[in-house]
Amino acid sequence: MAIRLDYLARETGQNLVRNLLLTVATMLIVTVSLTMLGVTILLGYYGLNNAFVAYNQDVSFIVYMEPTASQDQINALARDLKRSPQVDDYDYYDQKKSFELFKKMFQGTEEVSGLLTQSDMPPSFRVKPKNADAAVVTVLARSYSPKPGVMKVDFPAEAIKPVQAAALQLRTWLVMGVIVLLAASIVLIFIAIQTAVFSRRREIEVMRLVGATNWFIRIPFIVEGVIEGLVGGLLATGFAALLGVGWKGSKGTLDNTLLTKFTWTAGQQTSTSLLLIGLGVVVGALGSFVATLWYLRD
Amino acid sequence: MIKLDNVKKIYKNEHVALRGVSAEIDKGEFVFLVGPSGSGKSTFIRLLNREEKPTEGEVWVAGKNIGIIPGYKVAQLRRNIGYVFQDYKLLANKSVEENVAFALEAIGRPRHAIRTQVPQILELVGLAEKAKNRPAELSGGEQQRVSIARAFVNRPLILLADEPTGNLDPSTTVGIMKLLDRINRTGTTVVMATHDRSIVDTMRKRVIELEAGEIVRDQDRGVYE
Repeated sequence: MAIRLDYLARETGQNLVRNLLLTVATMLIVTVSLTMLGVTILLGYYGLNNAFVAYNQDVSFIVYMEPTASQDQINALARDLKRSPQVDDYDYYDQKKSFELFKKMFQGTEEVSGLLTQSDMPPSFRVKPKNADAAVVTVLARSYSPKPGVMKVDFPAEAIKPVQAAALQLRTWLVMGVIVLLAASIVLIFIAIQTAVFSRRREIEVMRLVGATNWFIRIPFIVEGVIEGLVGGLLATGFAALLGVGWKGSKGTLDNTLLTKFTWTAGQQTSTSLLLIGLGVVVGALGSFVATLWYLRD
Repeated sequence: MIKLDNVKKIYKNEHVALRGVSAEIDKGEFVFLVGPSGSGKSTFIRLLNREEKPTEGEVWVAGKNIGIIPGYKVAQLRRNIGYVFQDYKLLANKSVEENVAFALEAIGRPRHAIRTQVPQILELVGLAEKAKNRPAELSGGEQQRVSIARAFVNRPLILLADEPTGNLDPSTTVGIMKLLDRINRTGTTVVMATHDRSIVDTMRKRVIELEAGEIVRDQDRGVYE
């Protein structure tokens, strides 16, 4: 049985306006849960993954020489690195270059940067192995520890592991939070539609008795749920876009921190937006369908 | 048109509403269902449009055993059955014409058909001039006329009326009965449950009397007794 569009628009509009407060509350909780999902996807998934890709492309370990190491010891280590079939490339940071980097890192904090001089800086080799596997890199890096003039070997990959573990844990908690909020959204849409059905029970009774099919009665309520979900999805997309703009805009203040590595592409932003809108529609349709199934049984 | 074959109806609370009722009603008949409260009149009517299913026995309407038809076919069945209630069940936020049109919209009738049929039926029930009024602005008799217009606008084969004059004074009741009689003369089968002795005695139509869920009398051109 065809349903007339003007009838559908009128009935759905009346439903949305009749319980306006509940409609707004429903849209807001969908917005909040989908915004959280958007943040989780953009920062916790794309951002985190891209950060690790960036780190893997970076120096895998750093060999610090004693500040007092002789030029011969430095040359010997450079030769070792050059000959090693496991080393892809390396950069040598002499004391001058190391001091410049140090000053840049502690720019504006003279109380720290003023404590050390160029001669205190250990020269270092930033080594990129051919094999990025953590276990291989660890063995390779440790083989340089006993060399003459070597002060210590640092593993940036090791340093990032606790951050990675914390971020993964955070991602898990965020996903769980999103699941709870999405379930709450479905329940709230269920309640909103149930309330709409209850406030229109007299009309529904008449409709059933004059021979309206259950689907004819249901469709305006399902469309109502879909609209609530869609609006929530669109608002969440807007907030996710604001996050994108804000995050990129705040890069200057995040210099030299791990967070600068958390980036995502425009394509990933778009696909996330589409997912949020789609999920909003699905949540709305699901909540309202279950409500009408429950209250408009044959 | 209508056939009940040894129909028993027991509700979930184990109340026995009908105990093996059998009756046949032909096309175009006007039948009064009479009997004291709780005798099973309303259950009889509710079985005819599948608001209830029989616990035992068969209910046949227009050649279909409606006790076993699937849920999705019930809507189609009800389009052939008009229903008039004692409390009118009009929608307070809609005008007279919107109330009637709503019944046609709900079954997906096209707009042009609604525009034609609604004024015709309001003319038939004598409410053309009150088409724009809300139910609260009408008398009880007028509200019942709207209810009848809504039930009849789709030209059903059967009109069921459950105590349609129960809330009306005697003079208004006469007008409603004249209207139902007029509808019956168009060939529509009318089944009406009532307590109103005077209208049964005046109209002298077929009377089925129920008592404690059983038919105790089925009489052509009967009286209330």
